[in-house]
Amino acid sequence: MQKIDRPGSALAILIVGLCLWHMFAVAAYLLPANSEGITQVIRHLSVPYVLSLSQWQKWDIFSPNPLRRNSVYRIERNAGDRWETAMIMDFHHLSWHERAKELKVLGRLQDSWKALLPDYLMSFCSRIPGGRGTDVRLLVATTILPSDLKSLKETAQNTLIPQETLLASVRCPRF
Amino acid sequence: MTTSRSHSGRMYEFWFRPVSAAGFGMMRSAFGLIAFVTMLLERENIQRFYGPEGILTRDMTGNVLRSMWRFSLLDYVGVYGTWLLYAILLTSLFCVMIGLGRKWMLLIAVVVLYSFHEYGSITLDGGDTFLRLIGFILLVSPCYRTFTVANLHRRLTLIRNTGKDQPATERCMPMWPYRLLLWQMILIYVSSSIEKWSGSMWRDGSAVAATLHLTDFTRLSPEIADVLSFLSPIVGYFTIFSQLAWGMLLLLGLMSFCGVLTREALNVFKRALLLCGALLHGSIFVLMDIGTFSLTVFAAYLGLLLDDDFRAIRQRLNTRIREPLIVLYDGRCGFCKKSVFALSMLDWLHRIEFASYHDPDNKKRYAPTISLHALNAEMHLRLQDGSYKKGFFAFRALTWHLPALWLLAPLLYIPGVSIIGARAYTFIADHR
Repeated sequence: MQKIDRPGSALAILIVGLCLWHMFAVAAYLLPANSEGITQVIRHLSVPYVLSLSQWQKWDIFSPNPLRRNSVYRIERNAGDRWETAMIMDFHHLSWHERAKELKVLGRLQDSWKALLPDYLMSFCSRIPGGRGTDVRLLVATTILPSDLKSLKETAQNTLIPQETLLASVRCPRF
Repeated sequence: MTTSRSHSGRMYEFWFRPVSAAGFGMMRSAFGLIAFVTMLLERENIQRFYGPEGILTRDMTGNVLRSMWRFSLLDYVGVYGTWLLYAILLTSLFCVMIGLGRKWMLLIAVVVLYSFHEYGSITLDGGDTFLRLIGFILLVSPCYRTFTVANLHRRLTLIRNTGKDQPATERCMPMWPYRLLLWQMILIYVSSSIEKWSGSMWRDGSAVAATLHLTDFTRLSPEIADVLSFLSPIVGYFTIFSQLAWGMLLLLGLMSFCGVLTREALNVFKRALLLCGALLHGSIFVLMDIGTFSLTVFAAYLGLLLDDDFRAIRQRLNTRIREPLIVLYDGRCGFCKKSVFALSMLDWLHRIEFASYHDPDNKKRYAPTISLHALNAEMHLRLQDGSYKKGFFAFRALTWHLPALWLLAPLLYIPGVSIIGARAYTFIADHR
């Protein structure tokens, strides 16, 4: 095998030093944010570096426990005396290339950024048939899965009652 | 003194031992492909998620996104600027995927991708975060030669001028980018397994069953998810322990560093972890739609493959191959040499030898009974049992030995394809 250019001692020490710092920093970033004492100091040292390089990370997918919430989102438009379903957003109604992202966004907004829900709903105004100049609203029907294995094995047989919640309502502009 | 010198030598070897850059080259192409396709599929939502008048308007970023240590080019552009950055991102990612342009193309792709991610935090999933981590490691890695257009051009020029290809083993890079990647993987898996272990559902075995019933992700009907739920405890514990086992690489690595364990034993353990991971993430990909996470993990796995791993994989897949297949080709024809070069690029399992029949030694050794006229008419393939295949049928036999063409191979046996294929081959051979 052809040898690569061997770095000089100073360069080698610099590269190893930077590697060790990077490894330390990303590991320290995984320490709990509410830690105290020396771990808090270590984490504070790493945060500016990790965030500046967009290396932030938290690997808690489906943990500590997976979500047990099944949601079907629905956009309705006001048809005078009643509300009509204009769009349903769930795994089956969204196209394969947008469902993961769209449902991720909806879950995030519902859990952490509720203030953005009206803007989210507004972004659909041009896509809703007859939506211009009318009132539209976003609802979610939620069912909670059981947590024990025995009940989970019989999920299809058990009728889970969905709970419906109004998430946002806006008036679409006339454009 | 001697101990100190050998210790520093080992340290140097640990960080700077030259290794094949093939794994990192493949990881770079996979990174480009995944990010390119993901962003391309978002084209209808670019202004919704990233535009100045989208869900998150520019003046709201301060309230919603973090204010410290954050940078995004999107903060400074309007509607047209957003489209321009999007076009730049797609172009640069495509170039990264095919290895066009020098390293600054990767720099542009990474910086603009980071900008989109830092702005569209509400859209991100684990796969997106993982992509950024891979992008950073690729960016700091000093090697950017493998699987590039420039390298392809250099090798083609070499073949045209000298008739010989440059050996693949010449591609190499220092070990430290691999160390960074491995450390990142250990952190991901170990922290993920600890997080899982802290949850009651993973410990009592119901977590996987619950996940299979989540309608946001699952590709299964509730009835099938019910049936598969009995596997939940086994799969759950397998997930936790196979992820936790990545931490063992640290201990085994230390033992290898101290000379207590051979490097090969360490690599065998790593390959076992990769196999478990492939099983796990492959199953997740088939059963659930959680975005790009599984695919991005596979991209990282490519970067973890070293020379020894490629050799071991080849040995495993070549256990029934006693001797190489011989492709007899016209070594005086430029088109034939290029075709052979293309085939050699696809010969990942190193099963094929290419021999020009104009070389008297090759002719005598591999095709003593075949006339020059017949050899000149079409490519001949000498199989392990000494029999020959010709033209289209030689190509069809070769496809079973070229992993990149495995999907094509069965299609070549569809009735009628051989008639069309043989005619097409003859036409090309006559006009070469």
